[in-house]
Amino acid sequence: MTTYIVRRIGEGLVTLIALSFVVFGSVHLTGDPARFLLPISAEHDESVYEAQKAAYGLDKPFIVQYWNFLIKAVRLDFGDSFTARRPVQEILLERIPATVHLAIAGTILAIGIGVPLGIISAVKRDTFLDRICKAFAIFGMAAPQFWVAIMLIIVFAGYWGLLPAFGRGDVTGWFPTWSQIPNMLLHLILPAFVLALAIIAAIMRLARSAMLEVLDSDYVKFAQVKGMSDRVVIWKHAARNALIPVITFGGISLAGLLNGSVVVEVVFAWPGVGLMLLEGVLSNNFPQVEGAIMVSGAAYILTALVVDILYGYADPRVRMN
Amino acid sequence: MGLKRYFNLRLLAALGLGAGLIAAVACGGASEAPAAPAAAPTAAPASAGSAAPTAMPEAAQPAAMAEETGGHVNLLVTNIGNGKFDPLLTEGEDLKFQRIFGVALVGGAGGSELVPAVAKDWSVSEDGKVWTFTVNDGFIEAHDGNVITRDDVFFNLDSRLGAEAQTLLESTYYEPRDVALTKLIDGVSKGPADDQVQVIFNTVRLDFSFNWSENAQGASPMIVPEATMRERAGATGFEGYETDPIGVGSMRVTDFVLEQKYSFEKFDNFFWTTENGFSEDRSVTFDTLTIEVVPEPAGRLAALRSGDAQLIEANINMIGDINGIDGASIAWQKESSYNWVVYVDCWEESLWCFPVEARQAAEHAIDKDAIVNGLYSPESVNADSWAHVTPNSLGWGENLRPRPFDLERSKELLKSIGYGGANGDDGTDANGEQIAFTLYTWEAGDLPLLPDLAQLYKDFWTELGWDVEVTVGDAAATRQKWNNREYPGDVLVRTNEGRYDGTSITQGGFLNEQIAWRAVGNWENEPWANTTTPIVQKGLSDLNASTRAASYNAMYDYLQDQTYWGDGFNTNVPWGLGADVASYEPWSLVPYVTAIWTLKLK
Repeated sequence: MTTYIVRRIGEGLVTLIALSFVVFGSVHLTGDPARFLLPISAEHDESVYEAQKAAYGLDKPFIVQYWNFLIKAVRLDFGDSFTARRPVQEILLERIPATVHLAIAGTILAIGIGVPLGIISAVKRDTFLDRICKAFAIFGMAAPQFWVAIMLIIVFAGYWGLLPAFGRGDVTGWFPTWSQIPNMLLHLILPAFVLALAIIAAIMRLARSAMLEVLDSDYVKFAQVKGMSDRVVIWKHAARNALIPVITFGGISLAGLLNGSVVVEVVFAWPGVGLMLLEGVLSNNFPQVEGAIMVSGAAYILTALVVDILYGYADPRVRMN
Repeated sequence: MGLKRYFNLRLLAALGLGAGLIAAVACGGASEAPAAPAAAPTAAPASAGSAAPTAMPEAAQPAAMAEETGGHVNLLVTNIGNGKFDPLLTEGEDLKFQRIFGVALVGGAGGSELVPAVAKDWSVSEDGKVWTFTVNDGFIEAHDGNVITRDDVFFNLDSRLGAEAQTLLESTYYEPRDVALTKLIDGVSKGPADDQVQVIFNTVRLDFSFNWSENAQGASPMIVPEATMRERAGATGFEGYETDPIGVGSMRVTDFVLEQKYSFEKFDNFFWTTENGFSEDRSVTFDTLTIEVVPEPAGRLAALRSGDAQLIEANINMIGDINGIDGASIAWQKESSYNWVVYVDCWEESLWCFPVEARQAAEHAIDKDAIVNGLYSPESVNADSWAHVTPNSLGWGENLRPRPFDLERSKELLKSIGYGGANGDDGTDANGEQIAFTLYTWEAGDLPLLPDLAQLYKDFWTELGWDVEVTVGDAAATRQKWNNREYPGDVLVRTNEGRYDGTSITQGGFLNEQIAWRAVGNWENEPWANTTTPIVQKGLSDLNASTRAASYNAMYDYLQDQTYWGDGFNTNVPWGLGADVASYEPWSLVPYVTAIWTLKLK
């Protein structure tokens, strides 16, 4: 098991380094940051340009710049934001809680809605309810996220006034006060649902097929013949076995959601890492873009690593292979 | 079957529970909406702009005190600039909160009107190079209790334009955005009187009072107390100010999330009152204000509909939706922005657009009425301006209206320079080579459908046989490439902030050798040195207030004829007012959030 864990950590690190190179290289391919930093009024002032290059270390060879970036990135130091004039690290620390809250809410919704619907769909196989669930799954996977988001805003926030259309309420940071929690939950509902919709659909399909397979197995039939209650048969015997792949998928999905969703965060003005990334891209704010992508990528790799390791514990065949 | 029966019962129970939760949540949501205040005051309209280029301070006149209504205003905007408080770090869009939090050296009232604010008087020397500001010394209180004096005003001018600015701008903390302007300034000094400060230019600069007023397009003129800034000084600048900002405006900051959300409360000791001798009371009539960035129009509209927002930044695509909301209304910000068409670097002889006739032919080929009435609407877009010179700005005249749509005239002009073959429309230049260029544009918040507009330009120019490609890119990157002269011979279709006094942009575009914005390598090689330059110098140097507008008009008339910048549109920008808003009167010709004290809740 130790060998397996060491190997997976090594793979994760290599992936992270490769990601850092791609991010750093591609960001610098978009243009000369020192030129972007020059105001219109000083664009032909070569002394200002050279000063800008030196100040940001852009006068050094690319590989030296990359190495410096990598060394600093290990300490989560991505330099100062060109626009905010303060460390990107600080901005990330402000934005990460919003993205994590949204990801957790999305995962809870995805599992909380997807699993029951999948089980219901399997138990009610080929009924009207099953068809409704299947249609919902197709819609969830096919509908564009931004369209769903806008429709929900128009209906739930605009016409019905039931839920807020944007923002995070009064919450900043990781921990809301007790009085802030209801308002925060209200603000979470729409963006979390939109973020989770495709995963709800996927989990529902996965749970349904797994449940169908288990319900058809001999031990479930035997349990029914023994006269066990439906509740015990479904939840104790069938669901527990059927949900193992679903939980695994849910873990990986959480990793995906932790990346933040640019679309969801922009539409709902959710002040997370995704919105920060877009702001950085639009303003050619390279340190901000690099910081947002690196942290999101690291979060994904780390979560996937943890899931893999836990899966290795749960299923010996994985680590043996 | 047993399983089915089990699920029917449980399903009903679960659905009931879910519905109950949603209802509970929904009730909670409804209770969050701000309560509509009871009083319904009549709005005091902001003064309309006058034609006077540099109005002298007004005498104090009796005026109605601002009526107190209390309540909260939620203002939703599409974006914020850098989101910073230090005026030296701000972008134009930061005026969305800066005009609430701060006050400029010179006051504004929209358009051309300048009124006393921190400065009670200002004048320029006979040679147009020395500006003297007399400060309202001793009663302007900042949010931390510091009182603004002449020394504070000196600090503000010196740290942004004078000797201290030179030091600050060398720091990586500051972007050297004002480098060009500092090069035009010989110094900032205290005096000659005890309550005066002087700014000494090395060139004629007649628009300085405008550019340091609330009518300007940036937040540089905002006045902050020196003692506060010094207390917050760090290794490279006034870093501490960003976490604990202090202004002198009508509202003080209570909380903020950088570039996202800014919360304010009314500042009770705001100086701009009739009691202090001002002609109107500019205190806000509500208690608290939140400005929040909501990029998605549907989100802003939904908030306006549900009562979660009282004021939203809108655009002409949202007019129908706003009108469809019960009780909502629109306040128009006239001539807030303009459509700027740039024939890039066309002084270079090798380019197709080098002959002026080619550029003029391009202008005659554009059917602007079709654009106004087809793509936009006459209430939101007006085709009556040239570049930044809109009907209420300095120097506008009937002669600057766009050239008429006349395809035959275009072809004649092209034929006159050997372009376009026998009929002027085969798309070739004088060497028989196909004319081909790219039209660069971007999605703009203040003028929607800019890419569609560019596409129409392409269609019009295709009638002349020209091979035109439209590229829609990122605004910042496109601007930067344009500035870096990467688009010679191409055309830029963009928007820009409206302005009364176009001195700065004209100087930057055609004259200023320090900026050298469009200069070829060095000033001596400037192709306009013996043509455009003297005309622009003459136009911008008219010291006589009564003839200045005419001088500008003559200068613009020449520049329009040269057509390095095309005819264009100006845009009225709509603000959506919620059902609980009685009135709001934004200023004309001034972009972003203006005159917030005119916003009255019902």
